[in-house]
Amino acid sequence: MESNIPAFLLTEEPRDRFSGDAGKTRFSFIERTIAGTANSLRILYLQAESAGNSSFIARLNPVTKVLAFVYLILVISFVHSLKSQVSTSGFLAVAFLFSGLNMARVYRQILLISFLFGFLLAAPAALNVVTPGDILVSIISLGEPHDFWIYHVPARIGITLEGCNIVARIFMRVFNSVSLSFLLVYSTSFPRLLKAFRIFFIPDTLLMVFWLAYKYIFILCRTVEETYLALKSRMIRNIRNETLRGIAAGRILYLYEKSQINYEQTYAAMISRGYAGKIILAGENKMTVKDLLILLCTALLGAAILIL
Amino acid sequence: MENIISLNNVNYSYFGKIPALRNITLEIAKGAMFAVIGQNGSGKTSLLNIINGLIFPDAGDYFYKRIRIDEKSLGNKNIHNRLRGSMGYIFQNPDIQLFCPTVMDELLFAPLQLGCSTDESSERALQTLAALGISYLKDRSVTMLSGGEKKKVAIASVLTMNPEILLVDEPLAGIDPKTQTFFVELLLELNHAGKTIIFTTHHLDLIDHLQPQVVVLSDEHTIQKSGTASEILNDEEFLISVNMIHEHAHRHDGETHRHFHAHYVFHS
Repeated sequence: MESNIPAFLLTEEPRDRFSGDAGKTRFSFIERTIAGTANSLRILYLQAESAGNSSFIARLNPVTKVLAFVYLILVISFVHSLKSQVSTSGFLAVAFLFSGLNMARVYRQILLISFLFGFLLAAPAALNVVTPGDILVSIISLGEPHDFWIYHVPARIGITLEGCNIVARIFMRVFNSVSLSFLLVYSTSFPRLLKAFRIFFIPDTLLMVFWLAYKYIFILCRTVEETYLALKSRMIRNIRNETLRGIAAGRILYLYEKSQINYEQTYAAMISRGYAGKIILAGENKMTVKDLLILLCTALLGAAILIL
Repeated sequence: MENIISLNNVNYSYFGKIPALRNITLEIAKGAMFAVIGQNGSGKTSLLNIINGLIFPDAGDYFYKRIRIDEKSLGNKNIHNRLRGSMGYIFQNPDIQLFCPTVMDELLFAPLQLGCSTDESSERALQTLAALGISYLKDRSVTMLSGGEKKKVAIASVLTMNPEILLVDEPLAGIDPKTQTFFVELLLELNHAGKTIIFTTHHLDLIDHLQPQVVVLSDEHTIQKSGTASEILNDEEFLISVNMIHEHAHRHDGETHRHFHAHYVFHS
């Protein structure tokens, strides 16, 4: 067989080429960035996957779920008593049981978000500087009270019972709102969820824009992850940060160009399939007696929570 | 020949939910021509990604030259560089593989990282461009290439590494028939020169041309069968069972009829 392949390919690389390399590999900032992006992809993907399962909640008509969601969010916002908020949490926990989701994983996410936006942000309200009342735990003593402009700082600063009550209520409100949102999102596939929003007279064209944006984020995440693997496979020695930055910039340009091509091709595909300025989406399945019963139960439950 | 790649009961799944590989046990000898065949979605690319240390098994062990490859061991610079330096991976989609500004930069990237001098790297790049018939692309931006040109540049960018092991995901994807022929011959020559070639495909004619050791992945992501090319190709019943050949309609002399068709021609 006549060969025209380069001579160097027919030889072996020196065996001791890497013998001097020691220590740890350094590929951190790209690794971390891509790992974070891949994680976003994973969350999106898991949402789509779990929503496709055959649990009781997943099988409900998305319109039912969206209506129940809006109603319960309003109930959670109006309810002031801690007892009612705790009852709502109990009800949502039961609903999660029927959703077939991994409760430990979902509740970990809910607790993290609730802690950040429900507890940390509201924590100062527990102090008597913000919420006057009987001090439960004293934190600092200033000797004498101070007044400036409209503010009054008491001599002894501490945590009050009234303050704790307010923080607990805010935390529970955030916790329940996040739980309800997660229940809806994790139990309904994104396309079905979008279609359900037609009940609020959102135009199909806008829903299509949302759907394309969602789909594109998914494609983008996959492209980023695949690009990263290709890059990783050719990263041999530690390379200089400016080279890495150059590569990253090149990849960003590539992704931008890819986005533009995708956008143009998607638009061309829409035109070729009859798009003439107005999008008409297929409707969702009709609501069944089961859906109406669920709505009725939710309405009664919301009323009971409001009365508590 | 010593085994340089060894997988023992390897399992891999996407996000812990969707299985991609189940209980994969295989050994690849130094200098082997090795093919992984199976339908789309059977886990062929995941297997190559594991062999290249890009992803890691959920369970089971992967050894490269008797070194266990996992996230921790690849943190060691010596192991990492030995693995990466000796394996060249040609991805199915060339778009994701090219990240340098020009074609020449792309070809110089690997040899420079391997520690070759600028002169030696340039020499390698120019020889490879000439061998693939794409010297005219030397100073072209990679974003300005056609699909076939991108594939050739992706192949060239890996060849300049002079890898001991060449991983090729779907060698025939995205290249014209003439380049396909060239690439098949190139793989044969590289294999004759002692390089280990591991490729994935669902084209049975490529198996016939290259006569590799074959493992067949099933829809259940397990190894359904392994053996020589002729053992696999001659077992028509098995190939039908794993959907590698199937019944479909054909038109001959104005008459349409249905029969099983493998779409490859045995050499006599």
